Amino acid sequence: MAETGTPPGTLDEAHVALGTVWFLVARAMVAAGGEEAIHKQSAGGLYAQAVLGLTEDECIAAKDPGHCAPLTLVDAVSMLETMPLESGEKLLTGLIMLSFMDRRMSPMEARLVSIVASALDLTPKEVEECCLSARVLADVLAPPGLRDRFRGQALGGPGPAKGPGSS
Amino acid sequence: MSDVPDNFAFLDGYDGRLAKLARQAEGYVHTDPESCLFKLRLLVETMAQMMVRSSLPQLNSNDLGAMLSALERAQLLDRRQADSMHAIRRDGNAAVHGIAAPTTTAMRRLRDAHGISQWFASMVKRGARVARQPFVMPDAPSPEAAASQREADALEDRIEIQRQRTRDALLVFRDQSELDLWVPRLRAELEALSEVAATAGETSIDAETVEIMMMLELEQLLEHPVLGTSARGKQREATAALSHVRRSLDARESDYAQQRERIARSLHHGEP
Repeated sequence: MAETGTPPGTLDEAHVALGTVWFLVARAMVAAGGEEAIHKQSAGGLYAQAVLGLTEDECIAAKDPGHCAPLTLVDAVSMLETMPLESGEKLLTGLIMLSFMDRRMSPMEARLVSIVASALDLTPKEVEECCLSARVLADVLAPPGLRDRFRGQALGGPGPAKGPGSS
Repeated sequence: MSDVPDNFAFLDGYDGRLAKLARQAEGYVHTDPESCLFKLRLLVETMAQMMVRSSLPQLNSNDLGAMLSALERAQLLDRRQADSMHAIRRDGNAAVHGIAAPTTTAMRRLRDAHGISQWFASMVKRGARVARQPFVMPDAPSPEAAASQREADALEDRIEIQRQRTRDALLVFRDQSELDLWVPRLRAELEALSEVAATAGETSIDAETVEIMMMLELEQLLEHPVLGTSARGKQREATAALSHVRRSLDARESDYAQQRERIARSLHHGEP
């Protein structure tokens, strides 16, 4: 049976730690978007395995209620502050990608991206790089029906409204 | 041949085609499990097409996997129905490709189809009361055959647990109760953090700039004179990484199919 990353049954502690931060901020992004669409949720999990390189077991361990229930968003921010730049950029990229799944960024989502970028101490140029990656990844990870929709809508085209006063 | 119960009689009042497919599947469950799975796949495909036609006419795909995913995204299928329908799709696909399956596999999917059909019947005629009947397992042709299904049963249990685990690993929230617990809590935390950041005069990223970048057509980005090379590299990398995950999942399903085939052969032909 094929597996990604580490072999089945073994957990890489660094991967579980990365997964913990990822699922915390990804959950916050899903919550900030004001909807809990299934495509966003599965894109978050696929991102953890395909891009962050976590195994199925590591994803489950990272989301284990006994492990992550006591953690808050402030804990996630503290963990981000000590994270290597490369991992941090991947997390921010994934967050922007999740937000883009419904093609609008609400003020709350923008704030979450700002909080994460600030905790990682990223420059505006680095944030732009993350946006570029997120745009590409949103297309690659979107389910077929949604991907067609992304491609069918040019800039300024009709997209679902997402909360008042998107800034 | 023992009597076959009519678990799907209630479908007669809703859709004759569905009732016929379900009965055919039920009739084949012991004698020809692959045909049973094929009929069940057809049953699910017919239901999905009916739902897409009435609720998502803009969907431009006849692929069953894509139809089910779109219905789930549109919240027309809940997680339980979607999982059962995907299980029938996967096992039906294996049957179509000539991979033998034991009766146990077909029986599990028949039971899933019974649950889905009751849900579907209550949904297509809103307000109609579907008398919920428990699924009655069609008798095995002989007690010996029933006893020899134990290994197949254990395999099906393992497959169900593993499929559930795969889904749990893939979703940001494992289930509705987790979602109900976390979403209000995270929203409240984010609002508080947002207020603190605003009071401290911390600048937020420019959502409009991000949006403009994100709304670029992918082709435009890939051909961009400055960003194109980097974007193409990222696309290649992401596509390869995603293919790797998909191949792992496919390899697992193929492994299940092989194990089922081995059991089916030993049950039907006494092969080791």
